[in-house]
Amino acid sequence: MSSATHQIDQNAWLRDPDVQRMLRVRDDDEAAFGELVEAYQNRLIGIFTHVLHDSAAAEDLAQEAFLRVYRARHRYQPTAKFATWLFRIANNLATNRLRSLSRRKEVSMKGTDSGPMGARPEENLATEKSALMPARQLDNQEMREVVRQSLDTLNDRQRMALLLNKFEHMSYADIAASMDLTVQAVKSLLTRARENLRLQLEPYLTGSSDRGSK
Amino acid sequence: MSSDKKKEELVAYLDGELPDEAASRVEKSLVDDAAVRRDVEQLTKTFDLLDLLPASQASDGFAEKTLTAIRTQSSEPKPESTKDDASVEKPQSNYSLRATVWGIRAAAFLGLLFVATTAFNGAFKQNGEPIDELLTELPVIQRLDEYQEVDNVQFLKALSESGLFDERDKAPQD
Repeated sequence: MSSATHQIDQNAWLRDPDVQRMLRVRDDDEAAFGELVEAYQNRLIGIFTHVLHDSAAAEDLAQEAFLRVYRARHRYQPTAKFATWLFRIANNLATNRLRSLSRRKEVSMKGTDSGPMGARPEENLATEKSALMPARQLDNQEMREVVRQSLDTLNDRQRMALLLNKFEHMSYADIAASMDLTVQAVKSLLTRARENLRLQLEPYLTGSSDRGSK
Repeated sequence: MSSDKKKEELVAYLDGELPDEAASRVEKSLVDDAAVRRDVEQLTKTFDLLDLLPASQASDGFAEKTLTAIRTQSSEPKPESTKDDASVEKPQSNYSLRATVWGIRAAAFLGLLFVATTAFNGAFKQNGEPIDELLTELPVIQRLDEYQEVDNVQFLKALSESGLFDERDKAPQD
């Protein structure tokens, strides 16, 4: 790659309006920080809620992510899209929180064979109940629960990659940067995630064609 | 091409991540192979089902609370241990956590050992002199005031030669 092309690539991030906002935050512009919070709050909380299943904990973690952005403002260098940087912070926070939750579960649930991300007892019941239902058409509420449970069967990294891919419309390169992985690793991760999801949801596909698409 | 590779290509094709040449290959197989068409259809439908998941909304005042938090934080003195750049923060593994805990315990033990040794030495030494030396010099110490009044070593030697101290040396035998 020529140095001129490299220079153009570097400057490409500067065209991201959120990078521009973050550069203003770097100069202690609090209003710009407020704009970033407004722009990303629902997106961050959405990802954290899918990962933690706890909206209050998701808000706490989202706030922590924003605080970390603010604390790091003076050392901010635009080397990627702002969203990629923010979701990298989010991914680190989510990973740490899940690890901490899994340690707590290991202590409180010693003796059971349910893994750290294993289903809760009431979810097992729901799964068994739902498992009897593919033959009939589930209503949207029931189907939503089935989809949520299917998402929970993915491991943490598959789930995060899938959520960034689906809801943040991130490219493989951006997911790789957010999750500190190679592009090839993201490709494999997403393939396994999509394949696992298909295995889980295949029995429910009949009659769902008009349901999923927005 | 392996089955896993084919699946990767299909998923990457659906995500628009395949280079043109590979995308053309997938499109050709879509025309020629009903199984590939079925795979693509199922992958697409299951992916679309994720749209059923509820969208989350921040609670009222979330942004304001966050801004208040940064104002509060800015007005507080920054703790030295604060790690600003979360982007480089790595989650600690269980192993490294355990190693850290044991390291702290070992350091605390060594610290206690050092304090105990220092205290022992302090109790049994004075100005760096061992206690044995103090015991040997005890008779001198006991008469130090008298010796200081003499204030003349030559005179003291003369007294010693005169046999004045012989009486003291003989005393224990009496």
